[in-house]
Amino acid sequence: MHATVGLIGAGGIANAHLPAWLDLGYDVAVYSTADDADALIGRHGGGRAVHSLDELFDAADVVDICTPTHTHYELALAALGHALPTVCEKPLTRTLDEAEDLVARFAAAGVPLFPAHVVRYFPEYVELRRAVARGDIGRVAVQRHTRQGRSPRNGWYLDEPLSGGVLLDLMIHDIDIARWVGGEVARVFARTNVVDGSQSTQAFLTHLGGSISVLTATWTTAPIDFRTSFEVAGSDGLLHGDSDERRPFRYQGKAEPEADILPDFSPLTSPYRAELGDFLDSIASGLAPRVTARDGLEAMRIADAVARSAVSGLPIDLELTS
Amino acid sequence: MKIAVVSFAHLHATEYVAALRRFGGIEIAACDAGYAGRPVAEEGGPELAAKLGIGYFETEEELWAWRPDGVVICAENVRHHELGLRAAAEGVHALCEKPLATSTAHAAEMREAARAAGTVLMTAFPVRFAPSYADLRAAVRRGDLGQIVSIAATNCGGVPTSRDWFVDPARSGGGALTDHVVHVADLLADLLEDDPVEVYAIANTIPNPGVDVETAGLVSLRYRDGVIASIDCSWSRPPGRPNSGDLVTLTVIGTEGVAEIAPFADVLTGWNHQGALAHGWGAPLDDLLIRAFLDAVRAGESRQPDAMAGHRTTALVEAAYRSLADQASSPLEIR
Repeated sequence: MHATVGLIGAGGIANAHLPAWLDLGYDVAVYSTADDADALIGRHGGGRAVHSLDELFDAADVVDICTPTHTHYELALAALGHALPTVCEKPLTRTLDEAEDLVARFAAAGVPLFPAHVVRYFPEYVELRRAVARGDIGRVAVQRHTRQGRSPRNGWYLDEPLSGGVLLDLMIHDIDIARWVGGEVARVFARTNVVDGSQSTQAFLTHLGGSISVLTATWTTAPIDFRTSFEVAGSDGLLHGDSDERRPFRYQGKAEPEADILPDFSPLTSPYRAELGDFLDSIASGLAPRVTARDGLEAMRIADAVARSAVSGLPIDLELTS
Repeated sequence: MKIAVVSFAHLHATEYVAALRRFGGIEIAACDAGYAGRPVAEEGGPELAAKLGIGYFETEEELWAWRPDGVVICAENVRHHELGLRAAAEGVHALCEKPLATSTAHAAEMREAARAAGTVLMTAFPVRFAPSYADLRAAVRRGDLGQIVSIAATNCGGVPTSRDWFVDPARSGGGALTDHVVHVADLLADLLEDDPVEVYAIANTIPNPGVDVETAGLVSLRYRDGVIASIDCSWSRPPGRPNSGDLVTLTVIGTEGVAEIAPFADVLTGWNHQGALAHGWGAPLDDLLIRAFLDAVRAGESRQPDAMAGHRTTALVEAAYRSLADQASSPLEIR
């Protein structure tokens, strides 16, 4: 008898989570309001479609919310109503108020809530954090984190009230990483520029203890490859990573990439397998996972300040919680 | 033609002398009056002049009396103002090491003095001559990038150790913000043909600690058409680092394309038993700058990067320091 995860949503990120759940030995019940659950299941050769949320919650031991951002809050509350441990794709919610409420309610009920900030499980960022913690570069001084890609062509991402734009889709990752590497954030300043379907946000963070960070997140209508990079400088050295450098495989030639091709899934290297496995381990052990609900909430608190600063043009001081 | 180098305080002087010598047919002399006051380990004075193979004057008065056609000002930052005004008063053309001045008021006075005297005043921004920058500029002008959305710029190095005045604010005017914002600010001004209207800055003294000035800085700019830009100007590289070719970088995000330049990326790399080998082999930017200055001296009219390039970048740095003091975004208006 396998345990079952109730996977809500069958879009982009569900394609990363489904094979990881299958590899973890879970039965997967998929519910989607879009007509895409069967296609997802067919593509990965596992899982079964269910036809209502009630059916999903009845079957599930764990819930995994992979839906558009603005729906996270209500779905997570519904999962909490069934006292089910819940994975919520980042950002935790669309608004800070929702995030605060959600985290407080799960904590009060003693039900685990896991914000899926998967970048903490990407090996180059794991290595970055490990090197900083080991003292390789002394005390952290300046971080630069960049994340850029082609503007999504899928409607809801570009709808600011639904998605929160490039800030909540891309920058939220680097907000979490900058805080993970550089500690709590005391002050936030940001600027955003939107030109039709393109947008950049640049956020300037002052961490408790004085280190500083600049985060740049960009969607552009130009046909560019997705790319992430960082440089972390300390009192005695610096660390640098760039997804565009040192690629183990490159190809230039006539062959066209096949449409809808699945990236190879390996249980040993998939950061999605690592994050979901970490959550399951934390439920079993009662120890905190690498990313806690509070981490997801603090990322939202900083993101909210980024959005407000970009509108007001003023730096925003954050009150530090616990 | 006679060109004088005023002071070896900034060791770019040696690069400029080497470039001047390569052009040939130029009488070159220098005065390094501050030499005696410097730490023993800092080379300069008549010995350095002899090593460079150029003439030497014991006093700056003798240098001005030599009646040079042009001077290259390589004194400590806070002396640029006095020397720029003197060059104009003497009717001598000048190329001034960056930053042009340590205050906007001083930069404006220098610019006005040169204008009134009819002399050339140029600012030493050699990166303006980088072929990669020319390519970027052309791509932007052609429309390859569409409409520009944002720019991320970096100019990160180590703490200058060749001269101790860099970390003495009374002589340098400041640390990493003073030293490293202006090069990329000059590129941005030329690329966008505009100045930012708002400047925000944050800084600390964490990298390479132990000096009295900021060693890390981040600057945020907003332009009137909505374009945003960031500058990392930190002295964040540890001593002994190999040349990784990333001294200056610019990433320009547009609606139709994204362009990146790294004008110092031309580095031959390798290893031996002592560790990494890294030798830059890029275009001779100092030679290109000196050629533009000599051309300006001959023509009697300025070439780029001119006094205005120095003025507007000085004003931007001043706004960054104002933002640090106020802990708020600072408006910038350049006249």
